[in-house]
Amino acid sequence: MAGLSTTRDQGMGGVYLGMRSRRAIQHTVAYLLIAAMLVIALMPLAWMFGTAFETVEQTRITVPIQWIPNPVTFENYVKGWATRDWLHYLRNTVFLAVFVGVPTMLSCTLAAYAFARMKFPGSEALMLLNISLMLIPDQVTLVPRFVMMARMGWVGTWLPAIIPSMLALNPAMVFVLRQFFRAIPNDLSDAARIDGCHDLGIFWRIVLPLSRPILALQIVLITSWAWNELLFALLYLKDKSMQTLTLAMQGFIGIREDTAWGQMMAMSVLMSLPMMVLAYYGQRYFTEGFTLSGIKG
Amino acid sequence: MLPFVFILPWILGVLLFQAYPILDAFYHSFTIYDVFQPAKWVGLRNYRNLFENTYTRMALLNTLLYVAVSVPGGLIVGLLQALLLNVKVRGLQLFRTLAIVPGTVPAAGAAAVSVFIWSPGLGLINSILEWLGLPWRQSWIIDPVMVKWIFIFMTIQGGIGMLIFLAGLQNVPQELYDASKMDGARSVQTLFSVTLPMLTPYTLFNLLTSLIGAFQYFTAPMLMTGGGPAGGSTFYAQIIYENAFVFFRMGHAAALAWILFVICVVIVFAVFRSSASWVYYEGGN
Repeated sequence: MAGLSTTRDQGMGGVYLGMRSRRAIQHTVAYLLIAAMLVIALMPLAWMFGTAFETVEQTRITVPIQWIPNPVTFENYVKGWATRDWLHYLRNTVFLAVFVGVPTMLSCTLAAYAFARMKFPGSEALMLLNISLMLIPDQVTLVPRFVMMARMGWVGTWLPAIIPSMLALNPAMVFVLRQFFRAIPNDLSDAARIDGCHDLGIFWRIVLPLSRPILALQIVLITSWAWNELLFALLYLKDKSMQTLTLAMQGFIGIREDTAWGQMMAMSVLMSLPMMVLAYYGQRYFTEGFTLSGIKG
Repeated sequence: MLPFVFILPWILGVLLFQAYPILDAFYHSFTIYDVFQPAKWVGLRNYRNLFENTYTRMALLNTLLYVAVSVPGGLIVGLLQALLLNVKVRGLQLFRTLAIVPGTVPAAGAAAVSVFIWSPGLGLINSILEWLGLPWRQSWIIDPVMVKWIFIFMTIQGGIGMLIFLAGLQNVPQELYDASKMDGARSVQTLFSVTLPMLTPYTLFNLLTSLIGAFQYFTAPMLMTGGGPAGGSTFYAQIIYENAFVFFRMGHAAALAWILFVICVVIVFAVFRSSASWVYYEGGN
């Protein structure tokens, strides 16, 4: 914006001024639009954080809206925390992320590596099958899978989370990792091979270290899956000892006259904080991961 | 030998947890089956019942409306957000971080806040309307028609699609922008003849994933309304879940699952067929 006054003194005249001022206007419009977008997107969050620190009486006053509570109280956190054993549900949510995440990462990396950098008959056709599997809704296989797990006596244990994960049951991850591995230059692995490195060595010493951003992205995605997941929990983690945060929150959410909104918001804040921290530190992997994962095909 | 060792878990996974369940669901969709007693063959009866069942029809219509509005809406909003967050202004990194924050709130937290926002009593929307002196107070989430639109509105918010578009924008070669500028193109012309065509592979990806995701919409309605009021927010995934695990009508659930499967296959096929005419691959891949 400062550009407007300085360019006016220059002899170049109208053209230069025109371009400069048009840019200034464009930037101002961009700022306004970005601000509007952020206000709309962040309003629910501001409301959540605000209400979490309000007393019951403050919550009841709806007009004018108080975005920043005065005075600030922590009673919602204290009372909400006491309603159930949140640490127990947190532990189970972490278990779910680990029990699904670790075996999935192992099996999918291996499969994706084979698809990306090894020659074997039928690899193209199998990859096409993998891409089609990405597009089949989970609900299609839901019931038979459950019956199968029940027959095996696995319902009520963590095995329904672990066993399918050991078998690379995440076609999207196999696809994304394969795209990533394919983009790693062959020169590196050729050089290593000349130095006497075997396939496993190339995989372990060259491909995996270079894939750190995409693997970090997968960890972020699986953790946030565990924090969001409801259907799997409803079927397989029904037992009180295995319930996750989402299931615990389900019993906490309600629309009644006597709903403890403040406590509901306080517990939502607590549940959201780990994900916000994870996203903050994981965000550079997002751009890197998506840019390099070759969605372009 | 090594490739097969690497890929063996994947093959077992596909056979055991994908191929077998799909075929099993197909067989059981022609039976009455409650898990406890052996399945009984009834031919097409499940499929016929489903089309006659008003509850099922309502869930299907709700889902089609949800897909038809939230998928294009989400794509447009995600694209606009990505374009805005790609303008080189000061503080861009901060804006990008802030834009990601709402998407990081877990489903249960988002559900709790949304219930509060749209609740008729102390809710944010009604408070704002009253504050502005507007006479538009509504029963929102306890109204069987409005509730669907609340879920649609909640979904139309950039999210991960925005991030993918943003990543796509980083991949547009600067030469193309320069060339476009040399030819004297205005920003709008550049947008339509350079940016959007270069983004089409990402649009295709986002379109397919959000279509399939929208047909599986389950968590938010289950947490917020349980499908109510009066079935106003009952979506397709919920009736599959209820038929199978609440009423133990596995045959019904299998028929529903197969209808969903066929719908998705048809849509994906149609999108892929059409993509040849609108997706631009650099280097003509």
